[in-house]
Amino acid sequence: MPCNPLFGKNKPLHRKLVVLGDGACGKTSLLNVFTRGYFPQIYEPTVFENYVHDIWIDNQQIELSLWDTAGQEEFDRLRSLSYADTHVVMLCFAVDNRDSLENIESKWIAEISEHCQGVKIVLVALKCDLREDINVVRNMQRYGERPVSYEEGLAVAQNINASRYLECSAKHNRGVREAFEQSARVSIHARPKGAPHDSNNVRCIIL
Amino acid sequence: MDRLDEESADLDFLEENLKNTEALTEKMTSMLNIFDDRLVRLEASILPIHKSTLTLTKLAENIDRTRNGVLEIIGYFDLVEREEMMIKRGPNENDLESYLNSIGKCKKAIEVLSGMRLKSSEKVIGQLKQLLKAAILKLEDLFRSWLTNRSNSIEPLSYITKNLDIPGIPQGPLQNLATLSSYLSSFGPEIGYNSDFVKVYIEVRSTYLTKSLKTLAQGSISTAEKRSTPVYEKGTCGFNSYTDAILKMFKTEYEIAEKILPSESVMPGYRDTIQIPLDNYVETGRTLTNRIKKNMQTDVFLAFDMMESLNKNVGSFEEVFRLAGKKDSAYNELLYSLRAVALCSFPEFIDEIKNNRAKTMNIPSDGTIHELTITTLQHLKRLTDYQETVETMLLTLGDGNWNSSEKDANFSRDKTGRGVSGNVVIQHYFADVLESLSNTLDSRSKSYKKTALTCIFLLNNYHHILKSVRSQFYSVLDPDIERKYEKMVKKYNDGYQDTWKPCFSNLMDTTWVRGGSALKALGSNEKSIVKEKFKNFNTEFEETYKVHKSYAIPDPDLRIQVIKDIKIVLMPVYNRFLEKYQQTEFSKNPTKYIRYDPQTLENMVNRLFDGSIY
Repeated sequence: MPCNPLFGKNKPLHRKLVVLGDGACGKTSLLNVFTRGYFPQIYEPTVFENYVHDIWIDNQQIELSLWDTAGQEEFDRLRSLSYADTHVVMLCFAVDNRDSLENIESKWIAEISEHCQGVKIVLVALKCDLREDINVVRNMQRYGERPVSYEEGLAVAQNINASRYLECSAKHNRGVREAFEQSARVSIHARPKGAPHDSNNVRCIIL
Repeated sequence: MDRLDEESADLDFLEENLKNTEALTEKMTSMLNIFDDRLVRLEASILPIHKSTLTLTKLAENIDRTRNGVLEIIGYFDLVEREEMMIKRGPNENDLESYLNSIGKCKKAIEVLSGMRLKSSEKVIGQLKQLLKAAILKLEDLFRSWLTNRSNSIEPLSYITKNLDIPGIPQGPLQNLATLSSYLSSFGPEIGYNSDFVKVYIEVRSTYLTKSLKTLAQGSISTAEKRSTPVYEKGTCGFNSYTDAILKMFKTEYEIAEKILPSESVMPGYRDTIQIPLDNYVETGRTLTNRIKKNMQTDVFLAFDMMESLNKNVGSFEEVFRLAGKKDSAYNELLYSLRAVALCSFPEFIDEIKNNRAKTMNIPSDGTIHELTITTLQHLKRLTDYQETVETMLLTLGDGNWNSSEKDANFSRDKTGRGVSGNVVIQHYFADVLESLSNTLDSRSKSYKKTALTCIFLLNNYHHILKSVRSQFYSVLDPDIERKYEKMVKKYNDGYQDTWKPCFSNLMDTTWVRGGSALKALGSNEKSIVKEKFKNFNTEFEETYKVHKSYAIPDPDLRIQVIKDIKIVLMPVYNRFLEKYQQTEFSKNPTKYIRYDPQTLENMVNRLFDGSIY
């Protein structure tokens, strides 16, 4: 097979990306749209999935291992199986759910620092199309709320020291590819974090 | 004229009468003179007779008196003979009065005879004194016999348990004894003999006290030595009853001494009466203290019990010593040595826990709660039974001074104890004990070969500590301690759960996405990967299951939690894998690889650690 001088100058890089965020914020849909261009119509909570997907960044082939996780709180232990050797975390929230944004700082950052201290984080706003959905906006207004704005999302990204802040709509396939590409870029120079699964080491806790 | 004549005639008649009367008067005067003469003569002859009669009468009276005096003296001279029989026979208990009368007579005789300074009475006085001495001895005998009759030993415990006063001597006999005593004490140097009845009193009553308290003294020792539990249980030693009994008996004893003994003898008599029983009491206390010294960890609570009893009764003891007019150093020494022993127990207990680390202490093969954890927490629980005493002693010891080694930074505290209150110092002590226990457990857990077992061991032990902290020491300990052990429990549960990860990782597959779609049909390579994963999972699960089934988690709540935590990961991951691949034809013989349906798997996990269900 003839070698394209523009491509394949390096061996493919292996990078692991873990998608985190509250249950039902749209992580699985985002991954499905990215990997298969398919937006699922039925919600089914994820146990875990691991998709391997190749992506090219600046002539560099990256074999991206994409880990979908369970967002629900009762699956905290199950989720902890996914953290080993992670290069980047895509931390997601849904703009129509302010709780999911609040949990970024109150829950997810704590969990990441427990299992994956120091990993690069890309904050991703999901379901951005719903900002213009009149039913959603009206519904939120009833509770004195409005969808999360770009500025609010950005502020949280800065607070948590995220490497990027991106916005997408999986339903309309807006910003999806860019989100993964940016995350992949972040991962290129990242060192893997998180204890490997098979380690029997008991981690120390600072009391 | 007639009338004149008549009157002349009357006049003549009157003159005639007058002459006759004058003649008569003259005759009577001369007769009276004769009478006077005769009377003067009579008086002169009678007066001397009268005078001599008076003299004779007085003489006769004097003779009578002298005779009576001599008779009286002779009576005293005869007294010895008359009373000897009566006195030497001894008093009739029912008619003490007549005996005392006899003695009174003798006493009076001595008094009288001594006053006469008659040469002849000296011998009689001597005899009388002998007789009196014999009488006193008889009275002493009576005193002893009466007192002894009223000094039968009792079982003070039956009065203590019913919270009754110790009975004294009934009013009648008490009055008789008091009468005898005052009689005996009234004899002094005049007979050259001082009665020893106070000595008799001391001897009889001291024996009574000693005998009555003997059971309790022996009981104090035997309850401490022959108890059913290895560790002393609060309130089980007879010493406290002994203390109550001796104080109550001493109280009644003083009332008796006050009634019977003459006032100047009450204090010394009481003091000497209680001396031997008190010595026995202190000796019993010393014996127990020595026992505690030799069995510090199991018996120190006996010291606390004794100290609480002694401290509680310190006022009563001081009252006894005040009434007895003595300073009792032995009693104070007992208190001091008990306190010293109790103080030593605090550092010793921590040392014991620390040194257990070095010893080849058996470590349970199933990872269950260690004996050291149980005994340490029991010990702490017992300390809370004596919280006030313990706080006082820890303050005496000084905050942190229970740590013999200065190495541990955790243990350095302000040792001056200034500004530290009892509840803070006990908090520090408990925290240090638990810290030492944690260190020992941590270091002992390293001898397990398997991480899972190390985790189960530490999980069990820290969980047991946490439960005790919550249920028993909540008021004593700093709330941070609870959080600390909550974290430890979480840490070792997490550590244990991690040991399942290699097993679970077999169920974690990878979906290869090429050209925008996941590959649906399995190639032969994928098929063998799935087979391999099922096989590896089965092997790994069975091995883990077999080994972990023998581990113990005795606490049901903890066991349920740990099993739940395994299942919360295992069940969804297994179900997912099963659902995903059992439809695909990864093998012609799928039952070879799918060994467990989810329900079977769950039932198996539910039975983990069930060896510890007793």
